[in-house]
Parts: sequence; structure tokens; C-alpha cells
Amino acid sequence: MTRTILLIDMNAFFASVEQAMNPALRGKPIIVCGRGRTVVTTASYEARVFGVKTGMNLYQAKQACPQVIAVEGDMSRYIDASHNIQRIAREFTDQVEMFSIDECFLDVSKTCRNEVDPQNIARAIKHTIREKLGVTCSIGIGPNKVVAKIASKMQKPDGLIEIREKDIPVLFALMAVQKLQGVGVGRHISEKLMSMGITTAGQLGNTPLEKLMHHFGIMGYRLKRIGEGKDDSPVDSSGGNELIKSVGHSHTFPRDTRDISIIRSYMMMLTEKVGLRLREYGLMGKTVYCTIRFGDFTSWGAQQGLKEHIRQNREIFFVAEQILARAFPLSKAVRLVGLSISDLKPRDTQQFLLKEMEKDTTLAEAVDDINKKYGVFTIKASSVILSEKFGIRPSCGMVSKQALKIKV
Amino acid sequence: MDTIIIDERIDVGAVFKKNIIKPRWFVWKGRKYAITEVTYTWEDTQGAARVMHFALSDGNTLFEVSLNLTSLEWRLEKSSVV
Ligand SMILES: [Mg+2]
Repeated sequence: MTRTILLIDMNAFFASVEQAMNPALRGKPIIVCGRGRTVVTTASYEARVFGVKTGMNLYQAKQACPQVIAVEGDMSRYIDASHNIQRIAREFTDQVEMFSIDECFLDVSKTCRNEVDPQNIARAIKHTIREKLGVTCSIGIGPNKVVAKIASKMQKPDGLIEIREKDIPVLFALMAVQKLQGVGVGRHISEKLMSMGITTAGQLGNTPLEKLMHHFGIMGYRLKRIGEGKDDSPVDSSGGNELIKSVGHSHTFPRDTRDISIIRSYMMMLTEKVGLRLREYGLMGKTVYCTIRFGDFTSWGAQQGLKEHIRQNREIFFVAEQILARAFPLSKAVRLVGLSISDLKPRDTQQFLLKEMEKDTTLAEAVDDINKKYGVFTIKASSVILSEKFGIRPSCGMVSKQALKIKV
Repeated sequence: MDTIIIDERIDVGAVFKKNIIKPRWFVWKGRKYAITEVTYTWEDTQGAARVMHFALSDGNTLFEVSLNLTSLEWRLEKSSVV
């Protein structure tokens, strides 16, 4: 059964909202910074012309573009705009997945079965978003989410590209593997693929599965599917109502290392992050999992189940150290360490759903109180989204999805 | 851009047209500001209360004004000049 998937990707989202709000900023190079105004979260297209990029600090941005205007962002505006985009999308289908604050998947297969051209739907959406919010987006159309996402990236800003099933072989034969970033082929993977002589998406799709599995493990399967332009994953309109299944963090070293003290100290740092998040969510866990990725992309992982649920840093680190000890002596230099805790249960006796998370670490003390006072769209949830924008990505992507959900 | 955080209660004159609220003027520190344009509106929640936010221009300065729909209190949150 053929599907028709749309991906709406907002163009320079935060900066565009600021320009829509403030006429004095329109047509000018601007950057939206987080609180403290140090890091660029989004640069307007006018600023990008000068080479200003997300992740630069204010000084670098000013170096690249002296006349750039720094604006302190306000997450409440972007979340509200994101909700509005979702409402607009829902006028066309009930299958809407808010993938991130500025990206939204739509499954319009049912609508398109009645001879409706998906490009007309896309044009209508673009028009409505521009009218109501004063901002532009790029829409990609494809037979699945991976291809729709690739299509959305082909024309920015204000783009509309459809990739049909029959166009995939020709298109992918010419498309560099680097273009697959954002659909699960990160920079390191594409570099590795290049070194294997795989330079185009089409070549990736034609590479024998065994070869990819040999180099990338289980991920090889997914990589081959991406190279073939195939993807069965559904548009998930549940909006992250699920409970968190695990809480985890990983860290990539600045350079590969065999030094046990370095690995241990990073593991301690990860413990603190994981422990903090666990307590923020009001959860405790019974299984600890450690993972190591080596310089050659092979990985090692082991877990330990416990008799009782734990949540304190020192408890987690104690277990993590024991697990880690099994990986020594190391045969190869380590590039990444990861830690996660699963088998979670709410620390409190009543059902503790994700949406009840609240402001900062105070959660631990006053869950019930805060649940009443703060709604779903809390300061915490938006700071999680912001931290994702900064590239600090906790494994619990669902948190931000919950904050993005609208009541239907 | 120079943004000043103000966060003070203000008096506002607004027109309710159909289901849209359009602030027309506000008084801050004894001075009356006439609004020439509502450039953007958005909503969020503060605790249990829904809060409407308005970006307003008097021709020179952009003001962010909020209306708490539970307490019906208007506040001048910020002003900014490019
Ligand atoms: Mg975007």
C-alpha cells in the first residue's frame, strides 16, 4: 500500500518568529540566543549569508557579521507557534506527528487516495502558515518519512519538493551520502561510508547487508533501508503520551582514549546527569546499562539487573563501575561512553506520567503541589527543547514531544 | 537590540471584536501610549491560568504586554528598541 507523507520544516524557525513579531527585525541579519545571550540557537537567513551559524557564540557571530542583531529568545512564543502549526496540519489529516519543535510529519495517504494532489495540500498548508503566523516553511513529500525529510531539505527557504517512489533510484544514485544527515546517517557514519568507497545514497542501498552489518552492527540494516529510500515507520500521532522507558546519556570524547581514569570520570559525570534526570522525572530504575563505542565504531555493552530500584547518583555509579570493569582490559581506544537506566517505576505510589514534570529539580520535593500549579507546558519542558537546540540531547526525546502536544 | 524587562501592572484600553482582543492604548508611569499595530500574539500558561501575550508597536518601540485570563490583570513585560 503506498503512503504519502509530508514533512513540514519551519525555516530558521525561532528567528522567523522574532521577525514576524518585530517589524524592525524583518529583512535584517538576526540571531536568537538563549538566556544569557551567549550561544546562537538560530540565525535568520539574512545572517546565514554572512556565515553565521547555530552553535556559534555571540563573539563569533559578530565577527562574521558585525551588524547582526542579537535577540533573546522566548520559548513560550515558539511553543505557541508550534501548536498553531500543528492545528493547521490537523485540518488536513488526524495523522500528525510533531517530530521536533519546528518539524511536523503528516500522513495524508487517506486524503490522497481520493485523487487529491499532495502538492496542493502542501501549498495550502504553506499559505495558511504564512497568513496566520507570518513565517515560511519547506515541505517535503515522499512515500515515507525518510524520503519526505530528504525532500524537505532540498529547497530552503520556502520550498516544496515531492519525491515519488519511481524517482528514488535516479535521485539516490546522484545524492551524496552526506545529504542523508538528519535521517540517521550522521557525519561520522558518512565519513566511514566514504572511506569504504560508498559515496552516494544509491551505493549505500546497493551495498550487501552483510557488509554493512559487519561495519555498523545492527545499524547496518537501517542504513541499507535508508539507502534504498525505504522506511516503514508510521507517523506517530500519539504525541509522546508514553511513559519514559529509559533515561540515558552518552558522551563522545574529544579524542579517543584508553585511559581508565578519563573513562571513569566521564562515567561519573554521566551518572550525575542520569541521576538528576531520573529524580526530575520522579522515577527510579532497576537495570543499569553501560555502553562503550570504540574508535572503529564497534561497540560493547553490558547491563546489570538489581534487586531493588535505585535513584541516587552514588548507587548508580557503584553499579556502573562494576559493569564497566567487565570491559577491561580494553583492546581498542574508546570514542564514546554511555549510561542508561531502565526498568523504571514512579517513585511515588500514584501513576506518574511524563506530563507531570515540572520546574527544575524541585520536583523531588513537591510533585503533587506543582502538578496542580503548573500545566503541561512548563518552563522545564521548554528548557529541554532549548537544550536540544543547543545540541545537548538527552535520550528522552519524548519529553519535548509531550510539551508540543496540543489537546485535540 | 536593547530589551528592557519591565514586568509592571498597567492599565489598558482594548477593543473586543468578535473573539479577538485588540489593545489600543496603555498607561505606564503616568504616560499614555497609543498603539499603532499589534504585530504578534501568542499564548501560554502560568500555573493554571491562560495568559495572552501581545507584541505592540507605538511606531518606535515594541512592547510586550500580557493579559492573565484568570486575574484579568494586564502587565507590561518588556520593551525593545532596535
Ligand atoms: Mg527547521
